Amino acid sequence: MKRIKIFDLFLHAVMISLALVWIYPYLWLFMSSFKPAREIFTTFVPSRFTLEHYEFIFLMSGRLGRPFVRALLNSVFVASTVTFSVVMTSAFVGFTLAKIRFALSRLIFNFILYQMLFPGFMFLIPLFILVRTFGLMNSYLALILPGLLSSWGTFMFAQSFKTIPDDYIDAAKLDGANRFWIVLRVMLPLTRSTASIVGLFTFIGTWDNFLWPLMVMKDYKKMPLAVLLATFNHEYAGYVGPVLAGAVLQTIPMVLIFLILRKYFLQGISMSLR
Amino acid sequence: MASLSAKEKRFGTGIIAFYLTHTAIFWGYPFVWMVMLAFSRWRFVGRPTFVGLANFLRILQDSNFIRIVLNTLNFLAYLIPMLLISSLIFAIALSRMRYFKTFVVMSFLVANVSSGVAYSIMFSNLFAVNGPLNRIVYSLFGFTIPWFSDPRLAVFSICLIVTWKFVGYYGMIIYAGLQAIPSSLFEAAKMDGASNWKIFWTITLPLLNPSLITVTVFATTLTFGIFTEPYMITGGGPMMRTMTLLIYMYDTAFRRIDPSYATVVAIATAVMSFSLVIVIRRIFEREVALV
Amino acid sequence: MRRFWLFTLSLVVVVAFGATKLVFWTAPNPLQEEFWKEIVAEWNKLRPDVQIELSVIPAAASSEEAILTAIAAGKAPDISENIFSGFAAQLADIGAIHPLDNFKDDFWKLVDTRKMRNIVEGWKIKGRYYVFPIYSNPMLFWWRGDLLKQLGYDRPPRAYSEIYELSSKFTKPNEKYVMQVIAGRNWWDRWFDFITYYYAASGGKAYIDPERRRAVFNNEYGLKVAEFIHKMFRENHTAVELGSNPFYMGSILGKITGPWEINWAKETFPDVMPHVWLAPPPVPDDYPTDLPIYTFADTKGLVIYENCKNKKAAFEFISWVFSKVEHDVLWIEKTRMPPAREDLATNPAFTRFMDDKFFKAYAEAVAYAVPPALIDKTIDVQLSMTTHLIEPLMYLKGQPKDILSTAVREINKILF
Repeated sequence: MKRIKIFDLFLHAVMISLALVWIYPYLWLFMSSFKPAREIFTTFVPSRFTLEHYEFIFLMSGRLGRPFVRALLNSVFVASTVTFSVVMTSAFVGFTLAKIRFALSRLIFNFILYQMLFPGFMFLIPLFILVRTFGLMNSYLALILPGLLSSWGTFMFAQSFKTIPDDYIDAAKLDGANRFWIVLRVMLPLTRSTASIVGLFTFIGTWDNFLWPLMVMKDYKKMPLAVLLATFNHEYAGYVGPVLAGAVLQTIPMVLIFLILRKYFLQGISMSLR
Repeated sequence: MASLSAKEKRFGTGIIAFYLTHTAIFWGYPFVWMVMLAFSRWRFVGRPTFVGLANFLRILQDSNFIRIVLNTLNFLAYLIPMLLISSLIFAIALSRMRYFKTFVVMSFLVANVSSGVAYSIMFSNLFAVNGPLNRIVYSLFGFTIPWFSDPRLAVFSICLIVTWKFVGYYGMIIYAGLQAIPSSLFEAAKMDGASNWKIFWTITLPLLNPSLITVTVFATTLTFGIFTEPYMITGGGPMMRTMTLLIYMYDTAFRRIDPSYATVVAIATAVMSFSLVIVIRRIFEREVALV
Repeated sequence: MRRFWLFTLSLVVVVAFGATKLVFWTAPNPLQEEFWKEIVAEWNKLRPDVQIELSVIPAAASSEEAILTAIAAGKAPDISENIFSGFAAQLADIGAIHPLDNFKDDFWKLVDTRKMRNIVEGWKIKGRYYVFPIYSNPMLFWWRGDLLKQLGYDRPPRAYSEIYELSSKFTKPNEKYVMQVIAGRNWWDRWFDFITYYYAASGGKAYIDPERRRAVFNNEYGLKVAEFIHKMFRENHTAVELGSNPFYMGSILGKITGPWEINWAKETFPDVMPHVWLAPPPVPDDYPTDLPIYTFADTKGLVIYENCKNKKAAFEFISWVFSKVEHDVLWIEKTRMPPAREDLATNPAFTRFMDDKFFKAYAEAVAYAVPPALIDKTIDVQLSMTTHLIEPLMYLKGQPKDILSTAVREINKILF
């Protein structure tokens, strides 16, 4: 019995220290962005805290044609639009496939599964050509339109709607509700966790997307933060402080969203087992 | 299933029509282009000229492409064991923890939401020759580790940071699998006097098969899609060792202005990734019935 | 007040209806950016009908990649700078840029005003002139004079053996090394190491024959350079990684750099800069002492793209910028890079800069600075040079002689 106690203690100690090792890079990044330039590589706790790196990227970079605040808003705008759209379209298409019987529904459902087999990178160059043909280069639409629908999201919604008994729909129908109303007010609240999971993973995926916006966005004013940060890192690599401050800026919203929605993050992970 | 009224039909048709239109434009049209490009030669201007299988023959003789396929195998050889073993250990250790569990889970998972460009910048500075990590190594052992500049080490270092990002995520997948095993099984085995080691090999591991396969498949597809880390940190070097298939596709399309060949690179990448996943499933997947 | 409103109104009318808007991409370099900001602001005030929109080349890895992606997207700018000759050859090859000699007399008048008749000849691509050269940066070595003095030297090392000797007095593995030998891993870094050393060793001979499309550096000079690099790494006179700013931190004595670093370093390391000695790149021991030492010229220019809607207006802008000598004066003030003109030493407008030892050294080296080979596949060639020449030498994978001949063979495969 004693042995087990000691082992447990040891296990806890190891795991907690590993956890600290895992968040150390974040801590270092965060601390470094407030350190005077000379101390970034030398000390963990700086002699004084400074906002000069943030001043550099917020104030100077506007003048240098690197609008960081705008890029942050661009990322927020693009990611939220895509997320909102994916949740809505997935809910409606998923509902149609799960709850309305018609000739094509089986076929389309299988097609969605089939689509999920193709990795996104296969379509990058043809999509680039499409965006070019439509004259959408350097526009928000190029970042948003291809992501309006998600076969994964549709699949997730269809699966969870299937588990909801038709009685709910029939009851709503008796109250005279139309289909849009049913999906928005009856079905979505019943599948809140699916909606959160789809939304969360879509948001993170869009925020993190780098290769696609790198290809289609050459206009600093409309660049998402990931691309702006990469170009900034290219020209100002010597300015370690501001580059790290930019990295903090890119990281913090994701960390906050994760902390707020961690419950759904965990649910989403266990769902990937299926 | 709800009864079908005319109204419902209209609603359904409308939704499906929207879905089909979007899919036709953003999936069907690119798909057609992809097939067309694969069999032609085109440099973004004029009309593609049909060249038959020339692009596919070219890829088989392309020494760069072969080098990059070897790199990818190198990535797989590091990443799959690293991810699989560390996330398995993580899950088992976690299942035996009673206190601070949430803290540990959150610390590992928060690594997963870091975005590619930001964490590449973060680690390239952390691992820099005069960065904090090498400072510690130097003060302890008197030498520095050329994480990203040694051709043998660079691939490993990139795998290390990818592991940092994904252990929590994959560990939780395995943890979920672990929770699904009824504890009565373990108790029964203990009653029969089986050692912990034996229980692990005969009960835990076989019953975890679905989650282990899921993690392996995820890690495989992840490896074929690596782009941001080497693009930002090493630019494909040293000695082309960290050049990945996606960087090669991007370079071919936009630096060498050869989108048709780049498309074939993309197709080859997808085919390789897909076949490897099938092979893994064929060889390692077992039917698991929990009674 | 009334006049002000009238003026504003007319400006608005012009801007809204008649103005040409030209997009101009500048080099991702903070100092050049500053110069162009001032110039463009002045122009935009002067010419409401031709408004220039300034933006830095959106490069995440290299300017060339960003420009080519934009061309592929059909979103090339109207004008851009930071174009090296080999890249211009590639752009001309795909028909993306507009020959400047199409402007006939206007072009030649500008060339004469800026005194660059001979210089533009070096930029001729298949008989046409596509690029307007802006600056020419000879590459020079900077040495830590203060540290050299402590070691008992009163001048920087000149030949390879002097470097080995100096190293024996200074180098302490993992801490300090005599110099940086390899400039980096990017394809363009080859300009600043192998090609520079080769020009120095050979007295400025070509490393690639652009007519025959063959690499020709597999000769005695190439071998001497390869042996030098190999020996530097083999005997631990230098290392693969030297940390950030090793020169200013005192962990190396010498490194190669261009004039773009002068102003930045004066601001960032004011205590080191007064003690810096400038010198041409090191040469083999048997290089004649009475001959000048050649080096590499990092020279960049400006182009007008074929998709520019108003090429005439674009050229008017270029003529305006480069026909005024005070703009070149401002250029030197901001960037310290020698403008690509032949009257740097004679024109009184520039004499005051000759008091600056850094600018003077660079301006004087222009005469012995050789531009890169004019081939359209520069990037692929230099990537191959990195993989098959520099990295094997750095990591000691084989003998210099074999490495050299493999590299030449691989490069010829690309050129053929």
